[in-house]
Amino acid sequence: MPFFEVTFLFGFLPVTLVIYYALPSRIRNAWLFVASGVFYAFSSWAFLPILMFSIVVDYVVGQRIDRSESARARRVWLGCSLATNLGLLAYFKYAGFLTSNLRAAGLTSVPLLEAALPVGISFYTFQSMSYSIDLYRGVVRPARSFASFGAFVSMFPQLVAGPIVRFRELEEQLEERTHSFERFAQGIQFFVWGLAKKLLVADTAASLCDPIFRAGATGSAEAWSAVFLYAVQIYFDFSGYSDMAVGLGKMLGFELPQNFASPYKAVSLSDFWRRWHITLSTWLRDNLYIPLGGNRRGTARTYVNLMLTMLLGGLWHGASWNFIIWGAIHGGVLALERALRSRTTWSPPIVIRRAAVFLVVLVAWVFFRIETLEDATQWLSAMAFVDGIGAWPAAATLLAIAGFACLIWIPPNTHQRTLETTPRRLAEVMLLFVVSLVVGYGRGTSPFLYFRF
Amino acid sequence: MSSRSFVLAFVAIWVLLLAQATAFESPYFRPYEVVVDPRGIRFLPSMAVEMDEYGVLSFNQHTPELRVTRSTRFTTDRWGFRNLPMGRARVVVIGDSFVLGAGASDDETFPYFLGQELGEPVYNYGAQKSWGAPYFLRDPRFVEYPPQLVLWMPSQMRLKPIPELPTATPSSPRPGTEPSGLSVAYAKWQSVGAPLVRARASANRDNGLRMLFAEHFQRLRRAAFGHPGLIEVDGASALAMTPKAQLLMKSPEDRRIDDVVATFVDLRDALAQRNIGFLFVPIPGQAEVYLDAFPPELREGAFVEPSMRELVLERMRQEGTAVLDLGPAFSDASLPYLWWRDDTHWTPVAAQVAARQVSEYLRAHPEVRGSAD
Repeated sequence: MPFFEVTFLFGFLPVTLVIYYALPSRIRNAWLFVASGVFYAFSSWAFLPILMFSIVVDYVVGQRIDRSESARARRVWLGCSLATNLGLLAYFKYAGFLTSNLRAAGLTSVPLLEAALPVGISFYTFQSMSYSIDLYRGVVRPARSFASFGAFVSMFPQLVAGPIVRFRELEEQLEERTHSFERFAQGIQFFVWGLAKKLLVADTAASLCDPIFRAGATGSAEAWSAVFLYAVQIYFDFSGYSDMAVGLGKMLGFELPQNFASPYKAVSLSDFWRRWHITLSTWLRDNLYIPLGGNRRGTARTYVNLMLTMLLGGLWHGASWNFIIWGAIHGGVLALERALRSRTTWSPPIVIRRAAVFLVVLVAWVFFRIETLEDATQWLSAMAFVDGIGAWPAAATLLAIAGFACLIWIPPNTHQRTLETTPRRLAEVMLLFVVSLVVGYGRGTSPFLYFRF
Repeated sequence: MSSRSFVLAFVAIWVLLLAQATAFESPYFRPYEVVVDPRGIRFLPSMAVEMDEYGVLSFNQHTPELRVTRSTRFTTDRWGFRNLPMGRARVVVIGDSFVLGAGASDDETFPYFLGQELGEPVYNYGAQKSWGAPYFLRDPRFVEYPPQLVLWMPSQMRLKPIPELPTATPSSPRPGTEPSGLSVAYAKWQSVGAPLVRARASANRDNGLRMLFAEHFQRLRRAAFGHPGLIEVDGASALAMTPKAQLLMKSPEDRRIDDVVATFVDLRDALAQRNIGFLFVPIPGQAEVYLDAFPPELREGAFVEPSMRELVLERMRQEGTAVLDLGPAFSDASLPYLWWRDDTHWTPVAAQVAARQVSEYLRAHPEVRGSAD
């Protein structure tokens, strides 16, 4: 159930909040768990049992890890959690890709396994699994109740598209959190900014680039324009969702982590990954890159670890060669950047660095947006002037591109804005709320891009 | 300003919008939506719905001023197709919502008119989605009691695979195809949640807030950029999908004409194997018939002379298939506008004209019928 839907905004959310605040504090987590289950059922009824299964397994595993005294037993229980969550991911997300590739490689006796993808599985399995990992490492204490743990994994603001929250970040808040008008007012501001990002910016960018992607680019002008607009769409779509999640969290008394920090202002690719989908990159850093050895095992191994982490990061987004290539581009450039840094202290001006990073990100987005390898390489050749400059996009599209460019490079991001409660801010928020809905409901809305991951 | 005032002021706006959101205009504006079976292309069996309906274009484009409200009755038989009680039909019409009779009453559909013209029952196999042939070929009733003639009347030349005729008795599935216990349980579980999903979709679509905002937004957009789907025919306004939206700007090659023809020929051959006759009667497109009503910039470059439909007809004729071109009859200047002025479908007058053309053809070509019994 996307957050901009009428059923969410004027049905599910007010009902959930009213009941939440009417209940005594000690059973609010239980209500949050139930409400999140209802939220998921409205979006993906068929896969509700999978979500519940993941929650039950990790809750039980967590209890066992906590009670086990031997290291071996703790390892075995951790293995159960990893096997369950990665098994679910492997079956629902990767089995089709794997078996189709095996069959393409000549192993025609391998049956083709294809399953529909449960909404949010990549997010909640990582979240659920991280609880068991952190317990195994002794970083957190076990959840005090099943309801608390259920509320943590299934919390509706971030259930289907993150931010990926780790138990250690919410451990204390689950047991004790403050509810205040101040926090609620901050939540409203975050939510409305996110709503506007999605309905006013991301969907507008989508309405301009989708027709070009559908029809094909006549030359490099259209190819570059479409990729730029897609870069705007995916950033505002995903960061808009994340802002709404943070806002909803605040309304419920939670502080969810920041997921975006003006990524297109990054001055290096490693800086980009400190600003883009921050909760995924830190999850991969802590649970993959560092356990692989990080940068502690020599130069060559560091490059291998970087590449492996980014390849798996790409694969996390979806089971296709395009996502693997997207990860490989990022991994390769990260390794190159590291190699250059170790050999020279010279650094180009900040504008050049920012432009270079954005260029790499744009090229990589081609593999993210276009479904087949063949089409993606054709698009890249169009960007490389193989077909000439071609037709220019309409004047309105060029104007929109200029406006979007200002939007991604000039103003502060939502987390940098002050959260004040002045009449002026109230007017701004109300206006943005109504205009977003007028445009969104009037033009028609599109689903969040990250819902399919 | 205190945080409390900030929150309360925002909640006040929220409540105002909520009041508007809860105003439901109408959960359905077509009887089709009441009897639709979400599991497939059939309808809920043995239903009879009477209601006022209006066109999908006036709904989608939020132009209540151009609505044409009509009272219609929609009756389904026990098989889930739109038919009044009848004896065994030797003539069957398969097609999409045009054959089904979208916007028309039970006694205004093409199969009904054809039955009147021929003086024998004609079965309406019109489907809610654009492809009825696979269902027809797999339907146990028609495998057991095949008709003598199938009229294939697509309104769009879209390519979709038509499955082979079943070789085994329909009631006994082939070995290895029986559903597993797990998949049956999963299907049951899904069906439990289906009303929830439908209720959400309906609420999101039909609430007063969306209607209000959409209407105002569309008005503003039309004021700023004009209304490409608004045409003038016979001195009155009508809503239409643009020639581009009706695929007229795509070349027949881009629309894979070879594959389309091959698919239709396969359908004909599959029926011929069972001694069922086949008559191919594609329905002309609205933009094809009324292309001149669109402004020049919207119709420039349209593939209409000949159109994809005409090319497919010609190719099918060359393949030895019985075909009937409704284009000349629809171009008769003495006829009124043949489409609903607020919808994408033809009117009962058009269905009647088509039924007359088909019955005349069948009288002149009795050999088109097969010998299946």
